[in-house]
Amino acid sequence: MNKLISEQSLDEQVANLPKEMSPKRDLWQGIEKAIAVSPQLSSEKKQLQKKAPIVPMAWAASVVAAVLLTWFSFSPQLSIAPSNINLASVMKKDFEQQKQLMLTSFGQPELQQLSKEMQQQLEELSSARSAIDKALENDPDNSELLNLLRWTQKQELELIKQLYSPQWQTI
Amino acid sequence: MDKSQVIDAKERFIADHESELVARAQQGDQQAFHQLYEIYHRRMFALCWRMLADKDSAEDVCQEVFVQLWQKIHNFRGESKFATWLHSVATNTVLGHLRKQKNWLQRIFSIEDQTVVEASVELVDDSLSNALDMKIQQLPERARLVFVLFAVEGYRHEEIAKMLNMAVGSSKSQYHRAKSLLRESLGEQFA
Repeated sequence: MNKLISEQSLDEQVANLPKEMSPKRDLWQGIEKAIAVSPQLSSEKKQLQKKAPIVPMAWAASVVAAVLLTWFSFSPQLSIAPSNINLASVMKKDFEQQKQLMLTSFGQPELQQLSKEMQQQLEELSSARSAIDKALENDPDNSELLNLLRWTQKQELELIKQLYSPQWQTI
Repeated sequence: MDKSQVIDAKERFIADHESELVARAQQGDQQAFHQLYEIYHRRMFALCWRMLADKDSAEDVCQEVFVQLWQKIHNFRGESKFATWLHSVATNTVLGHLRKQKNWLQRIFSIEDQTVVEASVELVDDSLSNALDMKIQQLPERARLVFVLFAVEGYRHEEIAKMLNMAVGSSKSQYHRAKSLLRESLGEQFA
């Protein structure tokens, strides 16, 4: 049986928790940069505008996941005549070019420098995209899957743009 | 002058000058705001770190706290202590961050706390010297948030329930859950 420390001992340890901790990097430089461009009185409106894209991003990601889940669970096997042009591979190629171009414009940032949550979000979008790619291999002309792929690609690009655009969080 | 006297002197200095610094910051004085930052950023970082259990995110959110503070400082009317008001700004900023960053797949598939426990074990920050802090970091997210807000930050369960959008009873049960987990894990450590 596991040993427990007493409630009193826990309370004492809580009371003795350090009230302060020091961040490893200098946070002030980023704050200074941010407040220089965000005046106090009109700031709330600006802040709302700045943050607005996050909400659609969450919705978009949720819808992609929901559609994917539904698709893989309930979709009938469709048989559509294959076309000569593989639109999915064209879209994939175009997406990779756009992504590279965007990463180049941000100075080829290291993904490892992002927070774990951000890395996870990117990985999840990327794996959602891979799942759609895989589904398209079996059903390359499925317009719903193609739309989903286009949408997921767009979300991934927008997320990359958002991650690297804020200047004040990264010093 | 020993360390405790230095700390006392520092606290007296903060108390004497705080309202003046706040008033100057409300007028747009960045130097005064910088001084407020110097006084409070370690406390705010500790709060962010304990709630988020991730140092990198805590640093980013701590910056966001002070940007929010700059933008909202004119709302401070002196009805409560500045430190109390600042803590509520910080807590709301952290919770807002958590809502935004919450793993969307987790929402869709309703992956429960157990997974969070397993994941968080891997993220333990070995630079932490305080055993309790290390164990707090390993708590499931909701239990950790409730524990930090109630036991460390001194919020009431009614306030926590509102902040976390849960029933008061849930806040209490998460707190007891956190305490049991902590008593057990600290017991194992010292066994």
